[in-house]
Amino acid sequence: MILTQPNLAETPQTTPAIAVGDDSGAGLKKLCLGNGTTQTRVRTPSKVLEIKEELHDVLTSNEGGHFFYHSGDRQDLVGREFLTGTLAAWKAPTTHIKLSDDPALKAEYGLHTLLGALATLPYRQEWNLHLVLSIHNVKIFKNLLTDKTSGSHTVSFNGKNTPTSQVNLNVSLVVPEGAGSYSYCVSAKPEPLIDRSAHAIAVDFGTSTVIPTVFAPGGSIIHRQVLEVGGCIDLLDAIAADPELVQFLGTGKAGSIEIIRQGIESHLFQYGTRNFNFRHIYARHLKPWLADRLRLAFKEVEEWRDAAQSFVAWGGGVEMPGIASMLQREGITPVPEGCWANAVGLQRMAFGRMQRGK
Amino acid sequence: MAENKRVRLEPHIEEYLKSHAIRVLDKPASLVTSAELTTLTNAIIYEHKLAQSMAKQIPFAKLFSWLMSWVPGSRVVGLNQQATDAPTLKASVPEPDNFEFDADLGDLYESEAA
Repeated sequence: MILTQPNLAETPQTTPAIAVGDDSGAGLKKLCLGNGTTQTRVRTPSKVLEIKEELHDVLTSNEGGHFFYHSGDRQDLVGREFLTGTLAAWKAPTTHIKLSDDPALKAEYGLHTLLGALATLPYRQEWNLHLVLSIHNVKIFKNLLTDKTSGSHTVSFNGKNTPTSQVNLNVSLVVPEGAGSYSYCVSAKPEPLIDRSAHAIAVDFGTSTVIPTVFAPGGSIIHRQVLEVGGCIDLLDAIAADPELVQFLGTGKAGSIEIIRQGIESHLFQYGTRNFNFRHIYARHLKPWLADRLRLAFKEVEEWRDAAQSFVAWGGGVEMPGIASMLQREGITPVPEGCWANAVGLQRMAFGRMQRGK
Repeated sequence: MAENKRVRLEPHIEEYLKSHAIRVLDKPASLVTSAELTTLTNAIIYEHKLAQSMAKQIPFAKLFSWLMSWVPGSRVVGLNQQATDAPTLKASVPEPDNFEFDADLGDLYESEAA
């Protein structure tokens, strides 16, 4: 007797749904799939590029994806092909779409960056995702983001003619940015980082923005204000334009933001493959960068400082070398995995809602 | 020197501290302010510290053994035996994660957005 494997493609939604937190940052997309030991995290730069001509070769990276949209609920995408993350930057370093250019792009390209993130994962014939997404302005973008993301999408990953994947997306909820981080902090082990029974203040040090937020007991957002100064990108810009680095490069142009980012993330401060270490330049710019932002953030949350029992900082900026200790000296608790806090918290919400059938 | 430090009080500890408000501050528990809670905390912890140092100076174990020796037919039991009777620590098993609060938080944002 010959046993054959049932064909999953003909029986949609047979694979169990995965609870997913989707944090579309202006600088980085963070996707957190599943919980426990099987949890998978994907982080890609928030960049998109539509491919109009044949690629010379298939590009692959764990920080960016490539997909071809065959059919599905996004009729406007049928027959179109996109690169996301680092792949978009590789292919078109100056002309790709950066989500940091305009906050409205987060809703427009939320599906693109999500599919691009899935492209970095091992192939599956079917993905059933139960999503909680975050966006900077829920009132304005909730419906647009939900409409543009939810539904069934048949795509090929990492090529035009590779086997198709059926991606079924159920948007369970869209919440404000920071809501996931709050959930993450409340559930932190062994001790919560936020006391949910009292007011809490958080400052999000993102790539493009710095956002102080005040939470009421229980998690409602009382006050949230994007500071007029930029986020980590301002520090990277300052380092890139530092006269010492510019002089070393000898072209008269500023250094590469991406190379500087990599040097900081590796904690080695090496400028790419060049024989130049920019640790001292980083140290010189770090203190005034943080001091300015903290001063403005403190001013923004002044009314609630005495009532707040928790004062934390999250976002990718908190993970930069030296920041955590400087924050602690100011009485602010740096959230470990600050870059992931929101996505992981959103995933927790997605799982909690899935258990309740929502 | 006194210095402001934030600490989180569990509700039952706060209740315990306030139960001493009348004795220490001559004020009902319901009227205790946050600043007075600091005074209460310092006072109660100081009293506990004094009590503990006094307890260390009195040889309770010897006293108990001596008293027990006067009880006819009794076996002398040392207080130190408590240590061996104490339940042994179980291997730490991580508590299963609970997602109720996360789901509630989701409901909260859902209702606020509606």
